[in-house]
Order: sequence, then structure tokens, then C-alpha cells
Amino acid sequence: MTDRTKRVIIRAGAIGLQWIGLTIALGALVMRADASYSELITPSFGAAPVFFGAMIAGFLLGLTIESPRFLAPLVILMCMVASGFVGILTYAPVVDGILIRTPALDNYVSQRVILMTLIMIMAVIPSTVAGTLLGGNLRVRQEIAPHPEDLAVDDEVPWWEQRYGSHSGTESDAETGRRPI
Amino acid sequence: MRPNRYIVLISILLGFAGAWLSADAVGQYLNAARSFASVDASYVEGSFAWKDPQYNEATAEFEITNDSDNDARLAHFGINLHFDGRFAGARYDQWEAIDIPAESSVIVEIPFLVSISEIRSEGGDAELSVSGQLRLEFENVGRDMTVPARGTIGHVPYQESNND
Repeated sequence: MTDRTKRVIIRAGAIGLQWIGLTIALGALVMRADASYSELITPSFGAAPVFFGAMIAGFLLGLTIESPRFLAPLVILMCMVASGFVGILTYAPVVDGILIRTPALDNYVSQRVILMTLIMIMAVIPSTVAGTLLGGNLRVRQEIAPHPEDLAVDDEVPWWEQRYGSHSGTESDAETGRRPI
Repeated sequence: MRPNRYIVLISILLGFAGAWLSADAVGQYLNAARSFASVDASYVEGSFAWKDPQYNEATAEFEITNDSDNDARLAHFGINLHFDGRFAGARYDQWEAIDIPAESSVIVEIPFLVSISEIRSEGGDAELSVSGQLRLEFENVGRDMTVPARGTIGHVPYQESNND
């Protein structure tokens, strides 16, 4: 395995772990946001922490990922998966054999998932943009001055970590017709 | 550019906290659902007895079963007596809460008062039935549960031996 491959795996793994962690944290807030369960599950927080939690999660992802092509789908997917935690909670007694699955239950879950997804998407849009704009300083290499080794692998930076338009292109790109990214 | 390690670490820690909160929420909800599904109220067959030949008052026993893992408290028991499906009377006394330990059952004796004087005389001939509901409070569950209680008693004439 080459150094480049290792770097790519570590970076993708770190982003993946971050996404999973934030999604689970948001999902936990979604589970405790439902007024229907407020007397059965304590503490229950209501919907406001979901909104602000989504803002924080979007901001943290924005700080880490610069490429909008990669960031936008990840953030939307995070909101959708976290909303699905309502289904995990509601269907748990069904899986356990305590309750039966009915169309009313399905309708309730689907409407909650849609509502929570919309609430979170509204929250993450501005915070993600803010995070990706403010995160430039955090995304730099660990030293202020670029390390020669890092400079050497600049062309090998994965596409999802490249700033749009930051690459000026090379002569070979011009020959092959490749557009700079 | 590599992701900032502190941001990734914070996100992972948030994920662990979220996983714990999620598992706890599912556990609490399952506990409540199991408790609600594990209670039953049923009329004790043959326990109904008239206390007087004028069919003014009667008593009947009900068995309340709590098969859940949580202690329960029978906070209220509202039950009506019917003659051939028509309302005839009810339990009118002040209810005192009864504790029902986990995985146990209690038998409660309910006094009935026939309050519809027009049909009182039919008490010995009518098909008797009861309907009502009881309210249970569970330990570790924030919401009360209302359980329907129904039972068919049948024909029960007055027997003097019941009141000896």
C-alpha cells in the first residue's frame, strides 16, 4: 500500500467517523424530540435541540470538508438518516413482538421522518456554509508553513478535499482537455 | 489537507453520547410498552353476589394481573353494572389506590349500587354484565395506562346464604 493510499484511507476514515458520530448524536436528539414519547422517555428535549443540534453538526462537517460536491450530499444524508431514528424507536416494540405494525403506525413514522428531515435541513444549510467558509484555517496542514512533503503530494489530494477552482491546471491537462478542478 | 483531529474527536465523542442516549431511549420505551402489554383485568367467575333481596347492592371480584417487571399501582377502577345490556348501576365508593407488585396479581372486591330504580327488580332475572376501565400507574413509567375491563356475569338470583 502506497503512502498516498494510506493517507486517503485515513482521511476518508476520519470523515466517515465524524459523519457517523454526528449522525448518531442527531438521531438521539430526534428520538427524544417527540412529544408523543415525552412521558415515556425521560429526559425529553422537544424539537428545538434538534434544530440547534443540526446546526452544530452541519457546522462541524463544514469545518472538515471543503468540497461542496461532497459536503452537500453528506449533510443531507446525515439529516435523513438521523430522522430515521424515529423509526428505530417506534418499531422497536414491533420487532420485540409487543405491538403490531399498522398503517397508522407507518404513517406516523413517515410523517415524523419528513418533518424532522425538513427541520434539520433548514438548520444545516446556513451552518454548513458558515462552517465550510470559516474552516479554512482548520483544514490547513498542522503547521503554518506548508511541509515540503505535503507540497509534494498536493496533486494527490482526494477530490473531495480540493477547493473548487483551486487547481490551475497543467500543460498536460491542457493537452488532454482536462478541466482544472 | 487532513481533517482537523480535534473536530473529528469531538464528533466521535458526540456520537458515543448519542449512542448511549439512543439505547437508553429505546430501552425506556420498550420497558413502558412491555408494562402496558402485561396487565389484565378480569372478572372472577362466580364471585358476583347480591347483598339484599331488593337488588340494591351487590359485590363482585376482579383479578388484576401485573406480569410486567415494574411495580404498578391501581389508581382508579371505574366499573358499571348492566342488566341485559342496560346501565343499572356502578361502583360509587371512593377508590383507594392498591399497589400491585411486579409479576403478581391481586383480587379486588368491588361493591355495586343499583342506581336505576325502574329496573332494579329485574336484578335476579336479567343477564348481568360489567364494563369499565381501570387506571394503572407504573414505576419507572411516566404515563398512566387505562385498561378496559369487561365481563359477562350471567343470571345471578339472590341467595341468602351469600350474606350469612
